[in-house]
Amino acid sequence: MDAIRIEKLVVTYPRPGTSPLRAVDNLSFDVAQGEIVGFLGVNGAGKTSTIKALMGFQPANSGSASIFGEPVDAATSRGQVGFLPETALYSPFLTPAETLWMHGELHGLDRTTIRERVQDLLQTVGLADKARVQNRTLSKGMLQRVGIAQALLARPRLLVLDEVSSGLDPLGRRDLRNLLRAQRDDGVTVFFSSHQLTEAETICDRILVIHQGRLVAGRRIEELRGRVPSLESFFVTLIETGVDPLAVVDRQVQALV
Amino acid sequence: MTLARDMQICRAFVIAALLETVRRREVYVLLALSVLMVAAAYSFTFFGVHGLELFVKDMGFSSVGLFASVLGVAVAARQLPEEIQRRTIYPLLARPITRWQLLVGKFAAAWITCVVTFVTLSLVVLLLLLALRMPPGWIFLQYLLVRSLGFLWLCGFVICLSTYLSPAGALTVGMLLTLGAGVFTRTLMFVDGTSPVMKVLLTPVYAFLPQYSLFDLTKKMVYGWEPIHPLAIAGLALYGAAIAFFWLRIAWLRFRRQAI
Repeated sequence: MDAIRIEKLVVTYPRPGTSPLRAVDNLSFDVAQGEIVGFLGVNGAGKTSTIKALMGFQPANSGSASIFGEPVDAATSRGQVGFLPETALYSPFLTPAETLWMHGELHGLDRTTIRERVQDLLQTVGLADKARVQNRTLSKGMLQRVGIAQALLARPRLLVLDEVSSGLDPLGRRDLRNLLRAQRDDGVTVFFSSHQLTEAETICDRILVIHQGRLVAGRRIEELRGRVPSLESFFVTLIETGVDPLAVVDRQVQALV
Repeated sequence: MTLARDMQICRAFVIAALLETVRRREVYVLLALSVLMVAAAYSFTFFGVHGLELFVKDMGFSSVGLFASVLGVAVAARQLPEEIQRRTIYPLLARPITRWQLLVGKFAAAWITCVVTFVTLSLVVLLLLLALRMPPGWIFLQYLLVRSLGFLWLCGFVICLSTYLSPAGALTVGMLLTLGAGVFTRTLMFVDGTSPVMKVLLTPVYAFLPQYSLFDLTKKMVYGWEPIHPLAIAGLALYGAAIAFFWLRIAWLRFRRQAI
C-alpha cells in the first residue's frame, strides 16, 4: 500500500470576473512507504495547494487523495501523519511543553506517553531548556523547532512538511536533515515541498517537479547523478523549456538503439 | 469511547484557552475594575448617604455581568480566527479530529473560560459585599448558574459569527447584539403588538434574536427575591443548550468545507 496516492487531483480557486485559477491540474502521483520524496516547484506552482488538499485543508474540485489507503476526507487518515506547515506561530501565551501537550491530547495519546514524548522531543530539537518559557519569547527558528517536535509527537508513519527549512538557520537545516534521515531509517515516509534544491538533492530518494499545477517530472536522485551537472541545472532546464531533459536524452538513445 | 475522545479534545482546548486568558492578564484588569465599581458605589456612604445596599449590590453584580459578557465575546470571537491568522489551524486540523470536533472544542474552551471568569469575579464581589454586611441571599447561586447557561448562547453565537465575518466584524456585531440584546427584543415586542401580520413575521425573528436578558437574575438578586423554581432553570438550560447547538450547526455549515 502506498503512503500517499493522488489521482487526477484538481484544485481551483475562484477569481472575481474571470475563470477560476487551476492551482492543481489533473495531478497524479504516489509515494511508496519508506521513501523521502521532495516536491519541487517555483512559487505558485501548486505545491502548497496539493499539500492542503492532501491534508484535507482545501477541498478538491475533483480527483482523489488517500493516505495509507484511507481517503483524506476521513479524520482517521491523519492518525499516522505528522504535519509541519511553512510557518506557524504557536500560541504566544503557551510554552513549548504545553503546546506539545495540547497536540498530544488532540492526537488521542495517553498522559504517560505524552509526558515521555514531550521530554524526549524537546531534548531532540534542542529546546529542553526552553520548555517552560512562553512561545512569544522564542525566535522564528525556535518556533519552527517546536513545530518539528509537534509533527513527530505521535510517532507518525508519514511526515508531510511544507517548505519547513525556510525559517531555519544553517545549523537548524543540518539538524533537520539529520532528523529526516533518522526518521527514514526508522521506516518513516517523508514527503516535503521545498525551494532548497541542494537540500533536496542531499536527502531525497526521489523528486517530483510540479509546474503550473501539473507534474512535469518524477525522477529518482540516482537517475540524475552523472547525467546532469546538478539538480538545480536539471530543474532550471525543466522549468524553462517545459521538457524533462533526461527524457529527451532517453528518447535519443532509444532511437539510436 | 467517542465521548471520552470528545472530552479529551475539549479538555485540550479548554486548558489552552484558560492558560491564555490568565496570561493575557485581561482577567486581572476586570477583577480590579469590579472591585473599583463596588468600592466607588460604597464610597457614597462616606458622604453621609445611607441605605445604599441595593445600589452597591446592583453596581457590583451588573459590572461583573457586563465584564464577563465582554470578555466572553472577545474570547469566543478570537478562538477560530486567531488559529487561522497564526496558521496554527493547520497542525490542529492535521490531527485525527473532525472539523466539528474542532468547532465544539473551541466552543467549550470559550464557554468554560467565560464561566470561570464570571464565577471568579462574582465570588470576589460576593466577598466584598459580605465584608460590607450586604449578603445577597441564596438566589446568588442561581444567579451564577443561570448566567453561566447564558454564556452557552453567547459563545455559540459569537463563534458562529466568527466563521462568517472577519474577526473585527464578529467582535463588533457580537458585542452589539450581546449588550443590546434587551433593547432589540423589547423593541420587537413593541412592534409585535401593533398588527397580526407583523406578529407572524416577527415571531421567528424574535425567537432567534439573542434572548440574553432571560439569563440575567441580577435584579432579582439585588431586590432579594426568593430562588426561582428549578423547572424554570431546567427550561433555561434546555434553551441555552439548544440555541448554542443551533448556532454551532450554522457555523459548521460554513466551516466544514471552508478552504483554509
